[in-house]
Amino acid sequence: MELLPRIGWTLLSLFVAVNYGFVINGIIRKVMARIQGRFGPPVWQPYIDMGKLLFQRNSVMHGLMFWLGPVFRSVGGIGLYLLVPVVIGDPRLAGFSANGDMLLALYFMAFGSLGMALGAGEGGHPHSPIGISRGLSQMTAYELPFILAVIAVVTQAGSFDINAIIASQQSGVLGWNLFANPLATVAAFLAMLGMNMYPPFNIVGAPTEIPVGPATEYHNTYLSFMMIGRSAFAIAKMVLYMDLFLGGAHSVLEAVVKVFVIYFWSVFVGAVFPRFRTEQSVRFFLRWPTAFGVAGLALTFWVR
Amino acid sequence: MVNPVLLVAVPLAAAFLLPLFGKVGRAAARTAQVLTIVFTAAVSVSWIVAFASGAAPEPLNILTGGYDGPIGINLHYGLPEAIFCLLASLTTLAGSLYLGAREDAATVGRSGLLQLLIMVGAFGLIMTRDLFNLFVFLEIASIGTYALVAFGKEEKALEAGFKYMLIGAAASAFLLIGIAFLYKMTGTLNIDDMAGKMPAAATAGLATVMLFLLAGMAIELKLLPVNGPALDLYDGAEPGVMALLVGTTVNGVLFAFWKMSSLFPGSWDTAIMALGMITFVGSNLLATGQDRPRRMLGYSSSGQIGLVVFLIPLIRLDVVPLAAAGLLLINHTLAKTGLLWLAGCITGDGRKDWLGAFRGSVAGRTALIVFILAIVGLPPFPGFWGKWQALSGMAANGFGWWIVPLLIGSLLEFVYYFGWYRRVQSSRPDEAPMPGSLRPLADLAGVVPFALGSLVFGLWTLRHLAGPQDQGWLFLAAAGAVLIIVRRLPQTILSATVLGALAVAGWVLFTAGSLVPSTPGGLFLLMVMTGAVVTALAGLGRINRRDSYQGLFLILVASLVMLTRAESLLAFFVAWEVMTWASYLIIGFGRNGARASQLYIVFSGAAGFLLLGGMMLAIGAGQTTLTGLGFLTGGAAVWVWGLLVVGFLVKAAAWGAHVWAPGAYSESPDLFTPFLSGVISKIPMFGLAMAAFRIGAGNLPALGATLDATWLLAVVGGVTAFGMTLVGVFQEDAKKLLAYSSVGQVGYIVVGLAVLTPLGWTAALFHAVHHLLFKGLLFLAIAGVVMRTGTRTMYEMGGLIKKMPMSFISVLIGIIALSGVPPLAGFTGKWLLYQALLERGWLFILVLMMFASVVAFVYLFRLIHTVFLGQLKTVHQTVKEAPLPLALAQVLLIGAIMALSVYPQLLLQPLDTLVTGQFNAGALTFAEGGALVAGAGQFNPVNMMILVIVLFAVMVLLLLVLGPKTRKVGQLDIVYQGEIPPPPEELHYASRFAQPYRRAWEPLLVPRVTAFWASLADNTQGVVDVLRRVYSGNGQTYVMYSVLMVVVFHLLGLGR
Repeated sequence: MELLPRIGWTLLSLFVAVNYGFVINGIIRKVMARIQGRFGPPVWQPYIDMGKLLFQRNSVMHGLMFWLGPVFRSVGGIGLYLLVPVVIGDPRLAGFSANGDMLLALYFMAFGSLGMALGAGEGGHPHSPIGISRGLSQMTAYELPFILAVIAVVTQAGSFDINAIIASQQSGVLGWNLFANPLATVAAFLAMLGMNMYPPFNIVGAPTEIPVGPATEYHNTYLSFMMIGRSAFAIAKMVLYMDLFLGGAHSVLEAVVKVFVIYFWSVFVGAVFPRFRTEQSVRFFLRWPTAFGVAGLALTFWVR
Repeated sequence: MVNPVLLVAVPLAAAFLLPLFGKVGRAAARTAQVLTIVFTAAVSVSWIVAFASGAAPEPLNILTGGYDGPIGINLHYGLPEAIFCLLASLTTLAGSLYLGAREDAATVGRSGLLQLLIMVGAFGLIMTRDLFNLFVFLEIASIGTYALVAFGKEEKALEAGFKYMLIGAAASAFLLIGIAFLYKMTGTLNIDDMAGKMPAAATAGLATVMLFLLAGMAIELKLLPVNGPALDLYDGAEPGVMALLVGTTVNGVLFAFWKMSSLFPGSWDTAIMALGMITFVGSNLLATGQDRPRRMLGYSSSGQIGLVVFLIPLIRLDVVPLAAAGLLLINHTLAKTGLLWLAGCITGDGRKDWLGAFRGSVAGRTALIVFILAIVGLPPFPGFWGKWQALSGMAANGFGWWIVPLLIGSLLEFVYYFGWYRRVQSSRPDEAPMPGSLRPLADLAGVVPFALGSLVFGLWTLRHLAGPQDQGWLFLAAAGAVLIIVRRLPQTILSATVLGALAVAGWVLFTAGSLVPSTPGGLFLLMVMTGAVVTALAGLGRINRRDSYQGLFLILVASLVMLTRAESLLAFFVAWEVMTWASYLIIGFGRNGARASQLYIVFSGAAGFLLLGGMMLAIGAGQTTLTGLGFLTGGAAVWVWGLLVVGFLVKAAAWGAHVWAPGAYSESPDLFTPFLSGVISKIPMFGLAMAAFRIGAGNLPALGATLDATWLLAVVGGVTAFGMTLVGVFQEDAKKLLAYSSVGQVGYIVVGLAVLTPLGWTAALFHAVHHLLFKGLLFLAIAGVVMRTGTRTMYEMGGLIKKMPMSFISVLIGIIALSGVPPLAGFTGKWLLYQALLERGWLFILVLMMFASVVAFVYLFRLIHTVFLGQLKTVHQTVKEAPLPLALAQVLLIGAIMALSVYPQLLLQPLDTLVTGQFNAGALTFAEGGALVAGAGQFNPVNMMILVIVLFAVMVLLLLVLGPKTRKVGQLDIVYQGEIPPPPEELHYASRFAQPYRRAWEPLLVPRVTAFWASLADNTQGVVDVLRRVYSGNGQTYVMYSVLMVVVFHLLGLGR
């Protein structure tokens, strides 16, 4: 596909994804409220927030890195979305994913968070580095089961290429890695709990302790950029999970449904648990999820 | 030509005339004495020239008085005799100057008499071939010794002298009994004659006779365990006297034993070798427990003599050339006499007396380190060549197992000699005036010429034994030597000279076509030169005060140039050891570098000896070149591979041997650390690639059948990478954090090499180059920060981005490159490695490496956050950016990293040629548009960079357009959650960063390895303390030992 149409399609796909992220976020807030017996905000509340943030007048500057923090965050989120193919065999929805493989997506995941962390650091608020140190600690921990699971499916596909991984799951529903390697899938989905940072793993933002964590000093336009970045990032991660474990998607609708299901797994877990402390969270990921991951990877020695 | 008989006659006559000269005046006596010694030296020199030039083709055989034996005494004077006579003359000359300056009026003349007597004794011992005459000379030397020692007015000296006399009497008795019976058996006293007439059958009678002879000589040679009185002598007597003895009597007795050894039947060889080796290892072991350097030097002497005794039967068997023992003895004489003289310049000999010794004296400190390097057997000093020849002879002739204790003993020498030097490097707590200044004529007369002598003689041997090496390194080494001499010049001139010398050497290497990254040697040479130039540039005008840093740095670079170009095992090892000591000395220049550098040299020494062991095995199997290693097969291949790999891993500070690294990295001079981490840590990797893997996995059938050795190596690399990364997270010291990081990153390279596929090697070598760039950058940036803030502790800093933006950018680029986050080149390196591991099927190692790289995020963020982000400390309000040369060096490195990030093909294409040369297969496909394609994935760095830049630009523009006008606020103006803000105070979350993470990992973080090494040291110390009780200090006990020794030898059935 030529470059210009590709950019056009990608922008469209991105627009849909970000909006889908907004909607899902609205639904989550509603669901959470209902579980807790509240009425909750309307589903379109994220749009209201967004509008409010964009039109606030006051803006504070702590330095260039601080200013660039949300830029890093949004580039990280959007960039990841562009590196993940959404629908099988549809180049319009593949973004720029041909420029790299699973490893590129995996390492690019850290781009936004690290850049944002640097910006937050320059803000000078002590809550920011506390939140960041918690986030980094938890990230290293959930990455272990996640990496184990990823390498398991990569080994089964014999390639780091995401399209090849999807292709290896096309022998019906039972061909999905969810069934082909359930152990690895369990590890990955447990890891996702940490990744999505709903309770019990919401130690980074940790309401009431370090109110918003890293983002403490950010406001208005900065926050709106971060919302966009987060939406794209969340959707991209779920699409990646879908590609790796649920056999990818043959249509946009399938993708929408699968992403929804994957996302709500962490929301429902989050709805019923209180928060871990950092070391508890780290230890959790290093125990059962890792054990599942090791078993899942060991399984590939037989599956191959 | 002067008849060598006069060597004995003239000094003997002069000796007894000296008291008469003394009546005339002190000056007259001294002049007469010095002239006599100079005469003897001149005689020996003339003969050495004659023998060496071929003017005198045959050794002289002199029959005194024209009679045949046993009435006439037969003297033998050949090249070895001439050399050792000259050595005795020179030691006596320097020793008499040294002692002369210290004696008082009452003893004038008499002391000189004794010195001449000792010298004559040595000449006699060296030249005579008559057994009884030999005994007489031994007594002459001994009497001189007793008397000279007794001149010391200290009670300790007198007591030591008396004990020495007691045991000397026992030795004389044993020797006389032996000689008498031998005379009866053979009817001659001439050793050469006697050797032909020895009874062929090994009877009990003969065994007993030889036993007495051996026991007597063992006492005279001061072998274990009958060296007690000798040790007390070193402890109590004036060091100048002991120095005199080392160059005369000690060598003489050894020479005598060498002659006598022809009398011992072949069945005694193992016993004599064992006796020597036990003395060598045992004495060195006991020396490690010594607090007092003089006594330690005594143990060391025993050890060195033991080593030569060990070699004597091997020389007789033609296993080891005579030159090996000669080199060892010359080395020992030069170094030990020098050390003793230096010891004599320090009043007192306690633990405290040596702290900060010779701080004020350039000559003293330099000489001390030269002597120490020489005596532990490092190249280019003569002792190294002696050991190398001895070892290679042993390896080639089936005496390989003896190499093990020999190397262990040598390592023990490292432990105590460098422990001693550590004390010298440390500063005195009480700031009292530093002890140890050399009196111009008297002390320098011996010390400086002997130090120079060791060096020059060593370099001369280097040229002859290692063969001429080409290009660059000799020039750099010479430039380094010059810089050490002129180190008082202004630092700017020195640093500029360093840069200039590097430029010249670089140009020479470049025009010779050596600087090409498509061969392993060329690639590492390129890394060496890049690292050296950047380090030198950064140091321009701003480095340590007035030490030899600049000169040593050039010597270090020279050794690395030589190492990357080495073809023979010998050249490789020489360069390796020079690299070791040069870097050791530079690390010691750090403010608290003494302890760290000692640990460094001991572990490096161990690594060196492991390599030496491996190389000796290879030489034993007939291979003397690096390429020759490829022809090894079977068991030899396995052992050589194992030893080399373990040696390289120790030097690379792999897990288990990593304890030396944090200290060495953090305490070394700040501007040198980039080189240490960027270049020197890669040299073991070069070794792995060029030496260990020459042997090749396919040639390891024995290991391969049971266990894939390369997999084990990869596990070690992986554990190192992960373990060091995890420990690095919890460091408070910026340089320690980077140190752990460096060691961990080297683990990645080890894994890549171990994969042993084209892709694995590409990954490893790419990462090696890239690590040089980004870790050099990080260390340089931190060096600037430390320079400006005066601290390495991270939580004492913060918010420096406002004051040092350039350094911040450097660290930012550095950590992104290290972390492997796209779009910088770190990702390319990791991508290559993971592809290689997947291809090889080492899945769990793959996961471990990926996990380690994620954990690294924590320490990377910690580094940049606690130093540069957060709130600025009040004390740092006036801090300035790093100086220009430092910033310039960083810009260079950033440029290189960016180039590699956008277009890694710059390096990957030459690397592809390189691995194709090694494996006959390439690793990567370079597709259109800059994409890299490996077996299991693809990646386009150019497009990735464009994508990120475009996205970034778009978002920045959007933020500019959408965002309201910003208002700059101070760092203390922050959100307070609706509370009324109290007066602002500094709040920087930095100390014990990520403490909960530590709690989570607690069980893994117990420092088990450190505890292991500490307990090893403690237990050894305990054993040594028990063994040392053998030396009760009681003269009667010592004599009893000598008798017991005869009994034990007899019970062991020696000679039967």
